[in-house]
Amino acid sequence: MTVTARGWGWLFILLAVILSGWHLNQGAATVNWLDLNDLQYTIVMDIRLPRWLLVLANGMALGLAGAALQLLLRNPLAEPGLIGVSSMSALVTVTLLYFGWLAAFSWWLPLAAVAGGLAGLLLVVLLAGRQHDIYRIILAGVAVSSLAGSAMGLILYLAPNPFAFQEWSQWTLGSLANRSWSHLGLLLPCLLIGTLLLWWTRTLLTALTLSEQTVATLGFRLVSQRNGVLLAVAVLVAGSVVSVGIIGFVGLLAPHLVRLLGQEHPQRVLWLSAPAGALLLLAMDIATRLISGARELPIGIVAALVGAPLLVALLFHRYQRRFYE
Amino acid sequence: MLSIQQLSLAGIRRPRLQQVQLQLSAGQLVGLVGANGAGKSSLLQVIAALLTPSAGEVRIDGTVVTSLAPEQRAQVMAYLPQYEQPQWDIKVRELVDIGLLHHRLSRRQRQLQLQHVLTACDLLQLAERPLSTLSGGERQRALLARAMVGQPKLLLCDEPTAALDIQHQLQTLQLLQQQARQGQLVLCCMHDLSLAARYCDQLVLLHEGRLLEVGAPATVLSDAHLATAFGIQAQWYCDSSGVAWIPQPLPATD
Repeated sequence: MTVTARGWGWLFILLAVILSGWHLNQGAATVNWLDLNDLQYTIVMDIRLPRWLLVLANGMALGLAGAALQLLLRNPLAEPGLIGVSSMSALVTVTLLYFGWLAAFSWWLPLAAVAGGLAGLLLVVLLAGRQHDIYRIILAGVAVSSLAGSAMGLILYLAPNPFAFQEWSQWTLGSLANRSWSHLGLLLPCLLIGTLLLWWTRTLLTALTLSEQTVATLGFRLVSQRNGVLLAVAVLVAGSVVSVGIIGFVGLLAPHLVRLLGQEHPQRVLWLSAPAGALLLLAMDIATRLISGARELPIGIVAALVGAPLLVALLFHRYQRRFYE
Repeated sequence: MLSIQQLSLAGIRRPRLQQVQLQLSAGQLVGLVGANGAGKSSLLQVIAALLTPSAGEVRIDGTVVTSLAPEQRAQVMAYLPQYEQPQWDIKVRELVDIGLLHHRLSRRQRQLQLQHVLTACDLLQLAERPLSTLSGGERQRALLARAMVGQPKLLLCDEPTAALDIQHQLQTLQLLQQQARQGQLVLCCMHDLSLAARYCDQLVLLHEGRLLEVGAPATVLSDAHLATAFGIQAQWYCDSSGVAWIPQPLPATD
């Protein structure tokens, strides 16, 4: 039986509803959803609901960003973390926060993170050279990510706040602990703007099934539209980084999950990666809290523990069948 | 229809094109021939506005190609590069549809144009199949269909028969001939002189970036030109289908 893209979308939503039920019931306190007392109401409204929404929104943002990047760079291994966007966003955020130049929930924070992400992209593009060869881009991205990661450690070490360095793992490995509606408020505008930008550039992403040389003859204003995609990726990732830190693998795995279900058309990969990313992150957060003891594990560790073997399995499955003879 | 005036293109060690002057009318299949590095692909890429010439201009129906907006250029010409590997395993119909992404067509017109080109390229039975299930010849037909679907006035193909077996080479050339008969100007880079001579209405011979000759195959592929451009000589014979060449190396000179 062949399942259509719409069918998979509905299935993802159904799975998300089931996992959401599990996620919302995770926690030390038992909650009677049909008759909430004052304490339970506070727990739900101040802790569980914002965390759940943050997971969904981050999963969607990372899924979309990963899919857009893979379609733009024509490479199924592309991931926002690989090309320096996440690291540079985090570096800028950390610098502004821990030296007291911006308040924790200032509206300028996501803007600064976007600027950081774009700076990372620009650096990668400059390092990769005029030809923008994918291998050069990935190499340059790895270099920029490493540099930004090290700089972030140094910044936190030198920050006036003596506890700043202890929070290094939260930024580099991501964390959903102690998050509030304010964190969601930082992410949601980025999710909306990024989605709109990807809607505007969606036909370019379809056309890039073919080589850039061919796409340049198809009537696209290649430079501006490509920059639009890169901006969308920077905005989506910046929103995620500012709210929960760097969470790797979701952007890589979500599009692969969609392709594994037989959906190869770029439009279907792009838009189904949003619910796929939300599902993946929901599952990872549930697993994080099942594994964690008294102190919650950063979700990035679980993402890597789950994501890396899954990636190997996906690569083995996908590249075992040769595309071309 | 296509007018190229004093076209030059700079290269690293030597110019890639030097003062190429060419006038071609619609409704013909024109073969671009020459040795490796003669400038065939460069000429196609300049016409397609993928490369900026250092001098000269290209006009289509009197309009300078580079003065057209990208969307307008896409309406009048289509380009099929030498090595095209679709990155994602989409269906044939979806691949061909990419050629219409910037055409403002109603849904019905789009479907009709798709249907028409899939039929012309004998791809109707394969329309819903993923690209990975196609043979090399079928995939090349699908890529060609993508270029043809927008009904461009000018179709530029860089070695459309490369890496195809002889049966698929002939099928591809017959398809391009049909397009030419329908009023398009089809300009193809080709290495196989026999096929070029047999299928093309005119040949354009390039040598070291310069236009050596343009005209009927028998005129272009003269002994003198073959020796100059390719360093070979050829025996040729003519039958009802056209002309065929049997190449041989030039005799050694003492």
